[in-house]
Amino acid sequence: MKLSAEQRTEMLKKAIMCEQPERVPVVSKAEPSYAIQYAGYDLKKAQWDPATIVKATDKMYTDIYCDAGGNMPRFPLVYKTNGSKAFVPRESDNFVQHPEVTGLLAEEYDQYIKDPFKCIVETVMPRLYPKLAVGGIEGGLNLLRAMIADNQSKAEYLGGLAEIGKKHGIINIRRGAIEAPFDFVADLLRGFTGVSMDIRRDPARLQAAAEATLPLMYKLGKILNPTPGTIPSLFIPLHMPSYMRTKDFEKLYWPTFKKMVDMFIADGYTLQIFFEKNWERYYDYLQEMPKGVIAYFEEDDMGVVKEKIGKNVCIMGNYPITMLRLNTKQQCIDKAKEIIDKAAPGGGYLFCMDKSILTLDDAKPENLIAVSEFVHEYGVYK
Amino acid sequence: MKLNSELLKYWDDAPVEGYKPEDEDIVKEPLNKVEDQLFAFVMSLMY
Repeated sequence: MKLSAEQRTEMLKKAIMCEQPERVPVVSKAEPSYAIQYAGYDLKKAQWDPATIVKATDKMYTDIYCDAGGNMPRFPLVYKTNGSKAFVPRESDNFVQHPEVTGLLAEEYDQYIKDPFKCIVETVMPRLYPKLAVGGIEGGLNLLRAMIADNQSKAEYLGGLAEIGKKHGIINIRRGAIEAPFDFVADLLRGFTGVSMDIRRDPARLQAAAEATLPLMYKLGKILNPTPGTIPSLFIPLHMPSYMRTKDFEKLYWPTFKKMVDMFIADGYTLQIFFEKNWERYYDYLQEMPKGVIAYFEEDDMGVVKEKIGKNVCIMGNYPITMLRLNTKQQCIDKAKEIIDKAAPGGGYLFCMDKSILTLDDAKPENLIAVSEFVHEYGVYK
Repeated sequence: MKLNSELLKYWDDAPVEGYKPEDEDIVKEPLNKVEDQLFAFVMSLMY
């Protein structure tokens, strides 16, 4: 039975606010690159053309059941135009890769802490995007090209996606993405290696840098998702905690992240937070998460998560996409049943994979179709 | 929570250079929206 957009919206809103809807909503994490390959288009060519990605997504939505989706691909046009060192389209298929980079040197922390945006523009950008920092009119034109490529790709893609979302009645539950302040410093500024050293050698400056980043993330979130509400949520993937010691997490990561979460929730936002890897060590902290958070888990057992934090926050995730690649259809369905039986009782749950499905190698379509349809049929609250 | 940067020219308490206080109703919002988009674009390059 296909649901209307209104029914799906109602169902999603209830689940997000920890109530019990009619059914367990099915959230798709199949990325545009998966849709392209599934629909039979050439990945290298299609990623340069948002219209083809939209056509591919249309085909995917026609064949593979879901109630909600939402994503933003990294377009090779954007990263070729801006000459990024941080995001590089792979020669073979234009899949955008993220090599380890260092945009900010350890001795530049004070400059960043004093005026983060100025430091980003004057110091970090020229390192990671040298084309945009060329002197004179050429640099100005390169910056314009980069902005135009970005606007053009995103506008065409989002416009098309809205159309097919309407056609299929599929709800986009995500608008805009930001980072935890610590992760923002870690990812492209100091890099994994740099930040791992800073945690031990210069924690005070690292902490101050995370604090200085908080207003940037708050401002950015409000620009990217200007209308607070239950749907669409603001997406926040969390990167570093599983690689940190608990005592470092408590001191350096948690305070600015928690403050940011509280500010957005107080403003009426819903946050879809991706707790990457395993968060077992941090459940005591997660109990402080307020209602309005969609906690998306990768490796954590959903039964345990439900018990620990399920009263306050909506939970989703943890269905292992490796099963869709390696196991039989029945084994895949059995796993979906196991997770639903643990996580769905009482509501406050969205069915979802443990991570994004990027390519056909990640998931056999017949298994993904079988699991999605099973969840839709089985996940009925009686 | 307010974001301050030497490079962002928001019309906050005082007018942006080149504009008169009496034009606030007309120009403040469009000017600040430009700064917002500039800020968001630069930030989009950083994660």
